[in-house]
Amino acid sequence: MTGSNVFGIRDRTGFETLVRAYANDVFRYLYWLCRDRGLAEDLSQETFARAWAAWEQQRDEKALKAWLFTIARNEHARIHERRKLDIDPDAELDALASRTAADPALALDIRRAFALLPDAYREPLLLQVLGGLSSAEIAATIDATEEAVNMRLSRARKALRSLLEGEQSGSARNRETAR
Amino acid sequence: MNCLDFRRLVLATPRIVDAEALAHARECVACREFHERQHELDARLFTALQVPPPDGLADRILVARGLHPRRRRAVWAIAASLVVAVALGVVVRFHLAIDPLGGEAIAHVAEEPQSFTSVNAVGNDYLPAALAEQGLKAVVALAPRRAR
Repeated sequence: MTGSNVFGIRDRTGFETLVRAYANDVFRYLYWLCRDRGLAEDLSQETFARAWAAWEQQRDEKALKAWLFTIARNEHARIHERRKLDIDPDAELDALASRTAADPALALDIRRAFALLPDAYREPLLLQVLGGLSSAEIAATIDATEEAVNMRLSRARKALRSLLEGEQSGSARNRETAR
Repeated sequence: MNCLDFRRLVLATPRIVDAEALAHARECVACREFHERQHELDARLFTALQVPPPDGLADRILVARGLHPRRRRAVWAIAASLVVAVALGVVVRFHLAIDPLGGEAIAHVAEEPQSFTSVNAVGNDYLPAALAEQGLKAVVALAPRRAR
């Protein structure tokens, strides 16, 4: 007997609750890893296919989200590396900015800066800010120590701020030039 | 906690600030402002990362796994329809297997056993009259009634 969790017993209904609760977060996480909506959706499908296959064996009731992100990360590493898509980051970001956010210009600046972060910084920041995972959960997901995760998070935020300040001063210069 | 430790903690985990760190923030204006700026950046980053997911993503995932409740209901509905259809077929089959007229005659006899033993005497003209009502005619003459 495996007991129950917040998603109900480990059956179809519990899994359905899991999918409805986390499908969008998993998609967003995968999107920011691969920057391709179609691929992110395919990877989301693969992620939940694997999660369903292992659903009966899932024991840790409190770490379901971290578990899903770990599967998603592995799927991204497995499939994305094989497909090696050629993505135009600016085209993707421009399209996104027009669809979301109350302040598209600011959102675009942040997205551009975020996309420029090295993978080692971007990924833990993504898992923390978007996924809401703790440092310990991030450490387990990306196979690093908690101290290393905290260090990367700290450096990621410093780098992000620095990039944003560069973007903003650049934008201000452009506006001045335009006058 | 000193300013360096506080800022290192905030940069790593801006949402989780322990009691000691909060006490430092109350006393140090510069660190409090640093914390607020970091919170604001995280909030903006969170908003910027909210790319719109594809419509009906969760439904498509569930359908692909054969777990969508509407699809499951449809399967159950088809199964239930088949059971009802088979049950109706069986009932009709057994019902038709019995000759309805014969069945009614047997039921009638079974319910009125006295019909076998009762005798009602009628006159000689009763039978020809009854046949005539149906457009029939007796081809042989009935023997006259004998007194017992």
